[in-house]
Amino acid sequence: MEMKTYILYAFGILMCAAGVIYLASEYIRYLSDAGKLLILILMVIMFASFGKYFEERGL
Amino acid sequence: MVNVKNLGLYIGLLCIIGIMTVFFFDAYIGVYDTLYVTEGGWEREIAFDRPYPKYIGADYGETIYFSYEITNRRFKEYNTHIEASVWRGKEKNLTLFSANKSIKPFENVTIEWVLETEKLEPNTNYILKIKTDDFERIVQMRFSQITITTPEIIPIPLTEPEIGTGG
Repeated sequence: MEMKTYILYAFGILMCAAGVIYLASEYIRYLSDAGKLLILILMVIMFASFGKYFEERGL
Repeated sequence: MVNVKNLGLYIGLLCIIGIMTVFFFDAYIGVYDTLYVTEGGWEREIAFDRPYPKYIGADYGETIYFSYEITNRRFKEYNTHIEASVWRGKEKNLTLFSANKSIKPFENVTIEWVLETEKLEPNTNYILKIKTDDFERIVQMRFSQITITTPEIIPIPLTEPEIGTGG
Protein backbone atom coordinates (compact mmCIF):
# COMPACT_ATOMS: atom_id res chain seq x y z
CA MET A 1 0.00 0.00 0.00
CA GLU A 2 1.15 3.48 -0.69
CA MET A 3 2.26 5.87 2.02
CA LYS A 4 -0.56 8.25 1.04
CA THR A 5 -3.18 5.58 1.85
CA TYR A 6 -1.70 5.00 5.32
CA ILE A 7 -1.79 8.73 6.01
CA LEU A 8 -5.46 8.84 4.96
CA TYR A 9 -6.26 5.84 7.21
CA ALA A 10 -4.48 7.48 10.14
CA PHE A 11 -6.35 10.73 9.53
CA GLY A 12 -9.71 8.90 9.37
CA ILE A 13 -9.02 6.94 12.57
CA LEU A 14 -7.95 10.15 14.33
CA MET A 15 -11.14 11.94 13.25
CA CYS A 16 -13.31 9.00 14.41
CA ALA A 17 -11.57 8.94 17.80
CA ALA A 18 -11.95 12.72 18.16
CA GLY A 19 -15.66 12.49 17.30
CA VAL A 20 -16.30 9.65 19.74
CA ILE A 21 -14.41 11.48 22.53
CA TYR A 22 -16.34 14.71 21.85
CA LEU A 23 -19.75 12.97 21.89
CA ALA A 24 -18.84 10.97 25.00
CA SER A 25 -17.81 14.14 26.85
CA GLU A 26 -21.11 15.81 25.84
CA TYR A 27 -23.16 12.87 27.16
CA ILE A 28 -21.07 12.43 30.31
CA ARG A 29 -21.72 16.06 31.31
CA TYR A 30 -25.37 15.30 32.17
CA LEU A 31 -24.70 12.10 34.09
CA SER A 32 -24.84 11.88 37.87
CA ASP A 33 -21.66 11.04 39.83
CA ALA A 34 -22.93 7.55 40.57
CA GLY A 35 -23.65 7.01 36.87
CA LYS A 36 -20.18 8.19 35.89
CA LEU A 37 -18.57 5.80 38.37
CA LEU A 38 -20.70 2.88 37.22
CA ILE A 39 -19.86 3.55 33.57
CA LEU A 40 -16.17 3.79 34.38
CA ILE A 41 -16.29 0.39 36.12
CA LEU A 42 -18.24 -1.15 33.23
CA MET A 43 -15.77 0.26 30.70
CA VAL A 44 -12.81 -1.18 32.60
CA ILE A 45 -14.50 -4.61 32.67
CA MET A 46 -15.42 -4.28 28.99
CA PHE A 47 -11.90 -3.46 27.84
CA ALA A 48 -10.44 -6.21 30.05
CA SER A 49 -12.91 -8.77 28.67
CA PHE A 50 -12.37 -7.78 25.05
CA GLY A 51 -8.61 -7.78 25.64
CA LYS A 52 -8.78 -11.29 27.08
CA TYR A 53 -10.99 -12.48 24.21
CA PHE A 54 -8.66 -11.16 21.51
CA GLU A 55 -5.63 -12.49 23.40
CA GLU A 56 -7.20 -15.96 23.43
CA ARG A 57 -7.91 -15.73 19.72
CA GLY A 58 -4.29 -14.74 19.13
CA LEU A 59 -5.08 -11.43 17.48
CA MET B 1 -14.99 -23.54 36.89
CA VAL B 2 -17.21 -23.71 33.84
CA ASN B 3 -15.24 -23.00 30.69
CA VAL B 4 -17.49 -20.96 28.44
CA LYS B 5 -16.25 -20.38 24.94
CA ASN B 6 -15.90 -16.70 24.06
CA LEU B 7 -16.65 -15.65 27.67
CA GLY B 8 -14.64 -12.42 27.27
CA LEU B 9 -16.72 -11.44 24.25
CA TYR B 10 -20.01 -12.02 26.07
CA ILE B 11 -18.91 -10.09 29.16
CA GLY B 12 -17.74 -7.23 26.94
CA LEU B 13 -21.07 -7.14 25.11
CA LEU B 14 -22.95 -7.24 28.42
CA CYS B 15 -20.89 -4.27 29.59
CA ILE B 16 -21.90 -2.30 26.47
CA ILE B 17 -25.57 -3.05 27.21
CA GLY B 18 -24.93 -2.07 30.84
CA ILE B 19 -23.39 1.28 29.81
CA MET B 20 -26.38 2.07 27.58
CA THR B 21 -28.78 1.11 30.39
CA VAL B 22 -26.95 3.45 32.80
CA PHE B 23 -27.34 6.33 30.31
CA PHE B 24 -31.09 5.74 29.90
CA PHE B 25 -31.72 5.17 33.61
CA ASP B 26 -29.68 8.19 34.65
CA ALA B 27 -31.54 10.42 32.20
CA TYR B 28 -34.90 9.23 33.53
CA ILE B 29 -34.15 9.44 37.25
CA GLY B 30 -34.20 12.86 38.89
CA VAL B 31 -36.36 15.86 39.67
CA TYR B 32 -37.79 17.54 36.57
CA ASP B 33 -39.78 20.75 36.29
CA THR B 34 -41.80 22.42 33.55
CA LEU B 35 -43.46 25.81 33.51
CA TYR B 36 -46.68 26.37 31.56
CA VAL B 37 -47.51 29.98 30.77
CA THR B 38 -50.95 31.05 29.57
CA GLU B 39 -51.28 34.55 28.22
CA GLY B 40 -53.75 35.88 25.70
CA GLY B 41 -55.52 32.52 25.63
CA TRP B 42 -52.42 30.62 24.50
CA GLU B 43 -50.57 28.09 26.62
CA ARG B 44 -46.84 27.76 26.18
CA GLU B 45 -44.45 25.23 27.68
CA ILE B 46 -41.09 26.27 29.08
CA ALA B 47 -38.90 23.24 29.72
CA PHE B 48 -35.77 24.05 31.66
CA ASP B 49 -33.66 21.17 30.37
CA ARG B 50 -33.60 22.56 26.83
CA PRO B 51 -30.96 25.03 25.72
CA TYR B 52 -33.15 27.78 24.25
CA PRO B 53 -33.66 31.15 26.03
CA LYS B 54 -36.54 31.36 28.47
CA TYR B 55 -38.63 34.44 27.75
CA ILE B 56 -42.15 35.69 28.39
CA GLY B 57 -43.41 38.65 26.43
CA ALA B 58 -46.93 39.98 26.88
CA ASP B 59 -48.96 43.12 26.49
CA TYR B 60 -49.04 45.35 29.53
CA GLY B 61 -52.29 45.01 31.45
CA GLU B 62 -52.75 41.32 30.59
CA THR B 63 -53.08 38.66 33.25
CA ILE B 64 -50.61 35.80 32.97
CA TYR B 65 -51.47 32.39 34.41
CA PHE B 66 -48.60 30.17 35.47
CA SER B 67 -48.70 26.46 36.09
CA TYR B 68 -45.49 24.94 37.45
CA GLU B 69 -45.13 21.16 37.45
CA ILE B 70 -42.48 19.32 39.41
CA THR B 71 -42.02 15.60 38.83
CA ASN B 72 -40.12 13.53 41.33
CA ARG B 73 -38.65 10.53 39.51
CA ARG B 74 -36.63 9.32 42.46
CA PHE B 75 -37.03 6.54 44.97
CA LYS B 76 -37.33 8.89 47.94
CA GLU B 77 -39.72 11.69 48.83
CA TYR B 78 -38.70 15.16 47.70
CA ASN B 79 -39.26 17.93 50.25
CA THR B 80 -38.52 21.49 49.22
CA HIS B 81 -39.47 25.09 49.65
CA ILE B 82 -40.68 26.64 46.40
CA GLU B 83 -40.73 30.36 45.82
CA ALA B 84 -41.72 32.20 42.67
CA SER B 85 -40.90 35.90 42.60
CA VAL B 86 -40.52 38.78 40.18
CA TRP B 87 -37.27 40.70 40.19
CA ARG B 88 -36.12 43.87 38.53
CA GLY B 89 -32.35 43.70 38.50
CA LYS B 90 -31.36 42.92 42.09
CA GLU B 91 -34.57 44.29 43.57
CA LYS B 92 -37.41 41.94 44.45
CA ASN B 93 -40.75 43.36 43.30
CA LEU B 94 -43.34 40.66 43.89
CA THR B 95 -43.66 37.29 45.54
CA LEU B 96 -46.06 35.21 43.51
CA PHE B 97 -45.88 31.95 45.40
CA SER B 98 -44.08 30.66 48.47
CA ALA B 99 -44.73 27.36 50.22
CA ASN B 100 -43.21 24.06 51.29
CA LYS B 101 -44.04 21.09 49.13
CA SER B 102 -43.58 17.39 49.55
CA ILE B 103 -43.62 15.16 46.47
CA LYS B 104 -43.85 11.40 46.79
CA PRO B 105 -41.63 9.12 44.65
CA PHE B 106 -42.64 9.00 40.97
CA GLU B 107 -45.40 11.53 41.49
CA ASN B 108 -45.81 15.13 40.45
CA VAL B 109 -47.15 18.34 41.93
CA THR B 110 -48.62 21.29 40.04
CA ILE B 111 -48.51 24.77 41.51
CA GLU B 112 -50.49 27.63 40.03
CA TRP B 113 -50.18 31.35 40.40
CA VAL B 114 -51.30 34.47 38.58
CA LEU B 115 -49.37 37.58 37.61
CA GLU B 116 -51.24 40.82 37.07
CA THR B 117 -48.90 42.77 34.84
CA GLU B 118 -50.53 46.02 35.94
CA LYS B 119 -48.70 45.65 39.25
CA LEU B 120 -45.43 46.08 37.35
CA GLU B 121 -44.13 48.76 35.05
CA PRO B 122 -44.46 48.60 31.27
CA ASN B 123 -41.52 48.30 28.87
CA THR B 124 -39.19 47.17 31.66
CA ASN B 125 -37.12 44.04 31.87
CA TYR B 126 -38.12 41.72 34.70
CA ILE B 127 -36.95 38.31 35.84
CA LEU B 128 -39.19 35.54 37.09
CA LYS B 129 -37.22 33.47 39.61
CA ILE B 130 -38.43 30.05 40.66
CA LYS B 131 -36.32 28.86 43.54
CA THR B 132 -36.27 25.48 45.24
CA ASP B 133 -33.80 24.09 47.77
CA ASP B 134 -31.74 22.51 44.97
CA PHE B 135 -32.07 24.71 41.90
CA GLU B 136 -33.11 28.11 40.64
CA ARG B 137 -34.91 28.82 37.37
CA ILE B 138 -34.79 32.17 35.63
CA VAL B 139 -37.23 33.43 32.99
CA GLN B 140 -36.88 36.83 31.35
CA MET B 141 -40.08 38.90 31.17
CA ARG B 142 -41.11 42.10 29.46
CA PHE B 143 -44.55 43.68 29.15
CA SER B 144 -44.87 46.04 26.28
CA GLN B 145 -47.19 49.00 26.17
CA ILE B 146 -47.46 50.78 22.87
CA THR B 147 -48.40 54.43 23.26
CA ILE B 148 -49.74 56.05 20.12
CA THR B 149 -49.37 59.80 20.14
CA THR B 150 -51.28 61.72 17.53
CA PRO B 151 -49.23 64.49 16.02
CA GLU B 152 -50.40 68.04 16.64
CA ILE B 153 -52.23 69.37 13.62
CA ILE B 154 -50.98 72.77 12.57
CA PRO B 155 -53.51 74.56 10.39
CA ILE B 156 -52.07 75.79 7.15
CA PRO B 157 -52.99 79.45 6.61
CA LEU B 158 -55.04 79.70 3.48
CA THR B 159 -54.29 82.60 1.26
CA GLU B 160 -56.76 83.59 -1.37
CA PRO B 161 -55.30 83.44 -4.85
CA GLU B 162 -54.85 86.77 -6.44
CA ILE B 163 -56.95 87.06 -9.56
CA GLY B 164 -55.90 88.93 -12.61
CA THR B 165 -52.36 89.53 -11.66
CA GLY B 166 -50.90 86.74 -13.69
CA GLY B 167 -48.98 87.44 -16.81
